[in-house]
Amino acid sequence: MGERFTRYGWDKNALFYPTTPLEKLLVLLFLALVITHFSEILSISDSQHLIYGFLPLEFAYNLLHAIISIIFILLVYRKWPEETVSSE
Amino acid sequence: MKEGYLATFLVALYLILLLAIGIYTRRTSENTREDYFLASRNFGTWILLFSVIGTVASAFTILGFPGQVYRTGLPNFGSIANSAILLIPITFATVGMRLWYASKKFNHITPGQLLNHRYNSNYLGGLSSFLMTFWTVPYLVLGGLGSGLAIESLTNGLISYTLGSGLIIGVVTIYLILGGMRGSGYTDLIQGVLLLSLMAGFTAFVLKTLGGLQKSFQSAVDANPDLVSRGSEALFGTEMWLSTLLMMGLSVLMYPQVILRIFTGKSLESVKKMILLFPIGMLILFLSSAILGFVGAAEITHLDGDAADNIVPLLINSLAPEYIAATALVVILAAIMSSLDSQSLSVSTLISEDLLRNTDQIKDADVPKISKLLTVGLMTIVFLLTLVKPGSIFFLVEFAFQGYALMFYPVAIGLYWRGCTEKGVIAGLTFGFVGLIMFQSGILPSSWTLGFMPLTPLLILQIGLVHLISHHTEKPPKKTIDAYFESFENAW
Repeated sequence: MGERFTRYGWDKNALFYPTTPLEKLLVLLFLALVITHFSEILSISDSQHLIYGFLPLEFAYNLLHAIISIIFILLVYRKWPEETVSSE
Repeated sequence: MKEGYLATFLVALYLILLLAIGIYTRRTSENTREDYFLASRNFGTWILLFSVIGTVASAFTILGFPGQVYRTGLPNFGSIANSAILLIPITFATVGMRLWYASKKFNHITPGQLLNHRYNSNYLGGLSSFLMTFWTVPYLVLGGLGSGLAIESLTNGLISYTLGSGLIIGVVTIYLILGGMRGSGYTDLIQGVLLLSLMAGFTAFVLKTLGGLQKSFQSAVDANPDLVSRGSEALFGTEMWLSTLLMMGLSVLMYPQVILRIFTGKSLESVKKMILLFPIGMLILFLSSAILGFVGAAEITHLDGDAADNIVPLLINSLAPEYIAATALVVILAAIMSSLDSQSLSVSTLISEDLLRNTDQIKDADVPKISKLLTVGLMTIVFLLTLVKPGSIFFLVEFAFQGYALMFYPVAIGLYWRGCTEKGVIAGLTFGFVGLIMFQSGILPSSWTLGFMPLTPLLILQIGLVHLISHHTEKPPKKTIDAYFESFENAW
């Protein structure tokens, strides 16, 4: 642990840096979710279009986004870092 | 609300149930600090889940949010609900879990104790507890006030505002004294289940009564087409959209009542499962609230300003028979009381553990007794304030979410960066607090926020300040830092 401590500057081992492919994927997915949260980038924020004549487009998009966010949390849960010490 | 007798009966039944749970939890409680404040860190997934949902969901979720949808439209779902569903579980899974690991390893009861230990500090814990208390107390008053108003309105005046708020505050105080965190957690389990199931049930009932999802949505769109898109509403501009994301995402983990709930987690698996299920619960609540606010706009028109916050009880009352409408009051009380109890317990915990225990000659065994006395005193003051209704309370509540969010970075960074120092965190916390007060009180011009909430520019400057000060001040002992980071090896 000793060499991991640096008096000044960032300690890459102490901060969360995505090093494995899985971690990189999760960070990328998270950033994608944050960016797509801004529905204006898809030009639908002012849309009054109704899907099937009743479901507002932006509401449907936001609902889908919420469901994908939940799936993302499922991924975080399933791929939790391996437990090396007992937490009980 | 019809005659109001059934609602009065249901309220009485509900309060008796909560008192019975309080009495039951007293029988299983031990008179130790860890048991009174953290239920011996023994909450499994379901109690943890529903008590966190009950704590996070408030009168805003089931009254204020539908009212906002009624006034300004469905984009509120994207702005508020999506922010909560996306970011809160991530903060729980990352920072929240690290807080849990550290509190369990070092037996910390409050986040203040954790900060003091992590930074070898005598002041940081007191400062963080003061700030958390400062932002939480106004909510307590708001809870007492909201419960009084709801009871008076929905019992058709059979129970007055004063008696209603006194009853709710009294019952919460009794079950907190009897069971501490265990009493709060078990009652929140019941309240959380009621909240979720009844809100989902009301929504299904309203949609069915109005001819189904398609027909009710079409009616709402016909009544006001502007409710389906962001339009020119400043609330939904990119600057405010980003600010809301930050505010919703970063504030909740800084509620002391949420951190203390996470500390009660029995095992890694129980906390992980809570984190997984939490966004599903929030989706059910926010989706129900959004739908009720939206379809309500076609059914009940001309509610202006704050009157729109009554759309859910008004809608249910206009469509449902009395036996269903009366249960609306139970839902509202469940939302208010599950927040009120956890806020009250967390404030008395922070004061007794972080502000009194360190300064006086108080034995550990006496701390729960002191906390119980504090709870009685605090709730008495809250009741008196609900009668006075001071304007300053509403002023603080308006931006308390931003106040919590501005605590997030200084608290979280020390769990990820070894180089962070006590002075860096103190500077960050103080800067966020003072800056926000200065913006909100008009000392700093609102034009300086560039269209964002004050939170956004303050957060950016705060991050820079924490790092700048930390780089130039003394680090805590390496041994302590190593001990913390060893416990984070299997954390995100």
